[in-house]
Amino acid sequence: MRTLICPLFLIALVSFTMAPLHPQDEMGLELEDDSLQDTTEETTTADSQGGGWFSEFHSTSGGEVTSENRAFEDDNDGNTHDYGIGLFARLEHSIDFKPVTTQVRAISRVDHIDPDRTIVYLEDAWVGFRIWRFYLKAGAQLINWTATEAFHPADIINSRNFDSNIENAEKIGEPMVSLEIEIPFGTFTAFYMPYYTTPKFAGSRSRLNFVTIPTGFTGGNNLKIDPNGHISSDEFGHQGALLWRISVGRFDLGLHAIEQVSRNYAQPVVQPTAGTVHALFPRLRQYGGQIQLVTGALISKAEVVYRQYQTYNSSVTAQYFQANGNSLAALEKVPDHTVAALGFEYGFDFQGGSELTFLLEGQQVFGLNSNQAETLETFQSDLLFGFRFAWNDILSKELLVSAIVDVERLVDSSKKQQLLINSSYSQRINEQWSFKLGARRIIAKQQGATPVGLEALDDANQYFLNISRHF
Amino acid sequence: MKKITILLLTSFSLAWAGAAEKKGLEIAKKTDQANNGFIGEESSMTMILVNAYGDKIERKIKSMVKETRNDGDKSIVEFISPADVRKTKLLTWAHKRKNDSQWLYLPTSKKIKRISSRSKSGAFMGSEFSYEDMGSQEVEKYRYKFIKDAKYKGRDVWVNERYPVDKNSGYSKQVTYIDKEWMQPLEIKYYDRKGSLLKIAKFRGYKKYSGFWRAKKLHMYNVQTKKASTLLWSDRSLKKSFSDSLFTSGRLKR
Repeated sequence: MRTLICPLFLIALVSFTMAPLHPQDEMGLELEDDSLQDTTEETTTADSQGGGWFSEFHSTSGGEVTSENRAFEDDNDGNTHDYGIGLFARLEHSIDFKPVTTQVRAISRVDHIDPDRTIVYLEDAWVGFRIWRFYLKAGAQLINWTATEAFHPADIINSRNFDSNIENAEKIGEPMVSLEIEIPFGTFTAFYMPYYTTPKFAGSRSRLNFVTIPTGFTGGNNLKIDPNGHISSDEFGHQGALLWRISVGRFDLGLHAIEQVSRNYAQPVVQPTAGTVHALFPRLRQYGGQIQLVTGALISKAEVVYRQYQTYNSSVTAQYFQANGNSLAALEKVPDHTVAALGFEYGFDFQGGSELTFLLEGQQVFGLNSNQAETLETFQSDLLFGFRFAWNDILSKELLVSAIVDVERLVDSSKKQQLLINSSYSQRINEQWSFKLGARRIIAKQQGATPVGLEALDDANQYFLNISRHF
Repeated sequence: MKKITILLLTSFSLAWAGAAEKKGLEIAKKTDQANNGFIGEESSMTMILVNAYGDKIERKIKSMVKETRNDGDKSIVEFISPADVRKTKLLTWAHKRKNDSQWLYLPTSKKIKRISSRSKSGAFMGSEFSYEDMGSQEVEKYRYKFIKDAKYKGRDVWVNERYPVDKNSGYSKQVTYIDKEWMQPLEIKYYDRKGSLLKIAKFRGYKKYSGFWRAKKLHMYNVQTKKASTLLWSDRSLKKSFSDSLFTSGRLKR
């Protein structure tokens, strides 16, 4: 594998450093047409030419194909995949034919070494109809309400592909109907989601797998809690959300309410009779808000949410047990709690056009004890420090370095530390090609009998090189 | 006697300076008023980036600008190419007396991000145009000083100096050559915070669109790095009516 990755790395490095030399024009000025005035006839309107900016029908297509190469530090476990060579593709097509707009965007990934990584899903596949102040969309959509960089408590609508970076897992398009209304004070949007999109988890042999199946049990189908607290395996069910947004001066403010089957948290439950382990996705209501504020060079952001979970019906608690063997009845439901994330960005720009931005973000869970919080949220009391340096040049070179540290464990000497370090460098090679290389390090030693949260990914340290062709 | 002479000379200098500033401001207001009333503008552009070695790269952009009463213009710039930045959009609400409000839409993640208003010197998409250059040039954002009447490639111009009011500007001053007939700049020289000449912008190919003069080409040359960027307008339409709602952050996603 190293012999395969090294040439790819070298190709990227040579492309980066190679710069053909050309003689420079005097003063670098275009001297061919230096006339002050264009004497052709006055043009009052610009004609459209099928697909142009001014036409009524506008169609665009594009996408990318990426060679994804990753290598994990050896975990001395012959059962796990320490390498990955995947081919990722994203294809997109959109049509704008007023008042109708459509967009289809799909992704696929095939991994030669880890077939469990293979995935195909829609990010967007919707039709929109706009009339006056109303905008109706129907189909799969990717929703992004987030204001922050790494911690996104407000951003829960879409299911995720958890076989990706845990702090920013890839999103799967959610089938929905949305109606957006422009009102005098902002925008109001209502969402109806009739279908439950199952999250994708990493395969059992993946180094990013954080699902533990107890000895003697096998995996089972995903289960959901319906509005009455009963178990449902039906993919269809009523879910919805409301969102209000407004931009006022230096503020961007949003308030939301969501009722849905959880996409981001599943409680592992066992069915002793069948000897199976299931992911039980609870039903929740989330109320929250997000805000961005610009003050000079400082951008402040916050997301605060309150999560209220549906109580399990007695029929649920009679059949299923917690993964540790305890009765589910003792739990009643996932405990209600509040999650708050606060972030700051401060930037410096330099005369040559480059920018340096410092990032500071934190997330805290309220209303739960330490064990509960660690079970429900990967980042229950964490701080992110980082910086982004952008050269802002033709090659769009960018360097990003960040570290997420568990503050609770940092101050408690009886607990083992948790640290996630991420670094990446990206740039264009030319107009069609770009690459991104980086490294991630996870330090999260297991404390209890079973790994919780980030502990499941302890020492899943990886190096990656992605080479993309854009079209 | 000596003291009286110095006093008289100082008074004269101050009076002259005051007159120069007043005239500079009058010229700025006159050119601003001459460009009022375009209502809205829609255009396509090609941005050509040239590095110090002469290598060229093209970006294709389209933009919409809406004239706003009593404040700066609102604008949306959308990238058409290259492919990796296609559909990236920048929304700007220019303000006369405070920092502009800007949002960046990232199409891959569907994220709308506020941009710090202090990132003025940051290069716009790798070009020699800074975010400050791309913003609306409101009269209130500068102090002015008239230098002289002059000829520029045979045309009568006013030579004005202008000093950014915002202390976080990337420039200490700019020298503008404003055509007296077209009421538009033919050239602008930009000086960095140390007072050294940094960039020269040349406006070429002026043409009348719906009664308003607009340049077809804007060439920005960085004298310190020897890099250059050129904006070429291929389509342009003025007097367009746009609704205010088109220039909101929520609309960037569509």
